[in-house]
Amino acid sequence: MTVVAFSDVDVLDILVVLAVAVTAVLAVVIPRRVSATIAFLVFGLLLALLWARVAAPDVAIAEAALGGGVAGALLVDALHRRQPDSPQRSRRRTATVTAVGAVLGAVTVAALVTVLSRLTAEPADLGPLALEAVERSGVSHPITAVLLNFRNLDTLLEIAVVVFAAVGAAALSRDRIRPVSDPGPVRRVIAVVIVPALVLLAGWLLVAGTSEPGGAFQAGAVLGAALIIAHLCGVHAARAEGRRALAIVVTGLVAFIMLGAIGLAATGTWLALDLDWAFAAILAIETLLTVSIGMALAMLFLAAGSRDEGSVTDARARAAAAGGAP
Amino acid sequence: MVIVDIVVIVLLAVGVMFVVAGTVGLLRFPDLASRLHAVSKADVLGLGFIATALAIHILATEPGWAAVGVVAKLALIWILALIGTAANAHLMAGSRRRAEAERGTEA
Amino acid sequence: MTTLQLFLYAGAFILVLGVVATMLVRDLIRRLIALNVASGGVMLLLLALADRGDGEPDPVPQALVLTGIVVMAAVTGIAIVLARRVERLDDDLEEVEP
Repeated sequence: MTVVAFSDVDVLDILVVLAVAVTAVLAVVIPRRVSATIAFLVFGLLLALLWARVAAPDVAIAEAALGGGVAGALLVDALHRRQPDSPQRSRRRTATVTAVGAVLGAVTVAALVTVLSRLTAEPADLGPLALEAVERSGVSHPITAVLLNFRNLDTLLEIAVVVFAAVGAAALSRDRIRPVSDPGPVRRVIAVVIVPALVLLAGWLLVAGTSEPGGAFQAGAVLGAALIIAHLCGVHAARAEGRRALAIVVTGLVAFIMLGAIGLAATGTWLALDLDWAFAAILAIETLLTVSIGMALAMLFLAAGSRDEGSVTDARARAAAAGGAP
Repeated sequence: MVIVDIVVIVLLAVGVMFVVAGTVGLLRFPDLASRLHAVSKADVLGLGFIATALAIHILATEPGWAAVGVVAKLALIWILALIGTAANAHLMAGSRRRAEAERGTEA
Repeated sequence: MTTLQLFLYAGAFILVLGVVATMLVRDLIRRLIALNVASGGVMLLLLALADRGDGEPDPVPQALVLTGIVVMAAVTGIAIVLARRVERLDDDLEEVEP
């Protein structure tokens, strides 16, 4: 067995990977929900740092905004609704199942490591081909070119997934969104200062994505965060619910399909972009995607936090509160 | 150039020390109000030192208009972190005080 | 061990950890967190493979990972809504039955 020696690895890389692995283990094994969620938030932030180390700044921005920001907000908001009880089940069966799972997991990791160790450090052929074709795509940033020109079918399907998630969440949260009454002066300051800054940042990320790291997804995540903060600070116009919000969300998907049809009419291939109008088309679609994704994320957040006023538990709680007050 | 490197390293070390001190306060203080006090003050100050170190580094190594842009962005980051931390601390402490007041009137 | 190998092995470990935890954990929210951890492992694998060689990183896996992050955020949102409905129905059943 060869000795594991770290020949030319940066100490920083080792530290970051170690921290990521430790927080991953913590997020998974801690039994309390609150602690597991906090460990997961730290995991997301360290992951964003790791993506920056792997020369993927677009992915780092998106991970920080979505993994740490929006997904974290979703989980934290879903936390305090219910105290988890420990279900009664026999401890011995749990120990056996866990042991079997751990053994199978170790075997899988060993198999994966054996396969992965055969990978060479030579890049695949597709990368240089894509990089070379960027100048024919209409934008100058490689990732935006890949996302919105070379593989825009993937982006179309992804916006479809986002739309379906938003529609599903709207259908499941059948009752009212908890209204925010009387935000204090601090929240009003937040609404006035931070929300416009976030909207401006989203706009900049959107436009900068054509030539630098950025793009529609990062801008959409920041816009979603701005809408959520605006709602929590009492801005009534930012209520991401109802038919108006759904219409905005669906617009992104419909516009992308129409772009595909335009491409079909212009060049004979579905979703192909002609170099003459590729830049304008990409920027227009990215704007609609940003608004769509932002509204969808805000809808998901509000649906996850809505109060269900039709349940038996809620009715009894309200009766108890009414009876106990006088 | 060596002077600039030393200044940058010292500022970074001071910033990291403040952030670590804030985290130690978060872990060791007894109740929410003192923990918020430790974290919101020390963390933002540490971030300020780190941002200053980065600004000095970029101004020294690549002077020009691009560096001014980076310095402006660092200043914006620090201001936003300041506003966000202060607002968060106020909101958390306020909601805890309201919850305690309700529990006080029930019991 | 090179940097590439470090990232690949760590990615494999995190992926298997997340998948095994998704299958074994009972609590719905914790299972969702484990699924997110698994997706983080997959992303590490893809991004490490994208950064091979000396030149610019390969943009295709990076674009795939970016798409994956957005999809995971949307799926986490809808899964939380579903989990809360399931738990509320369980609570109602426990209230009604005794």
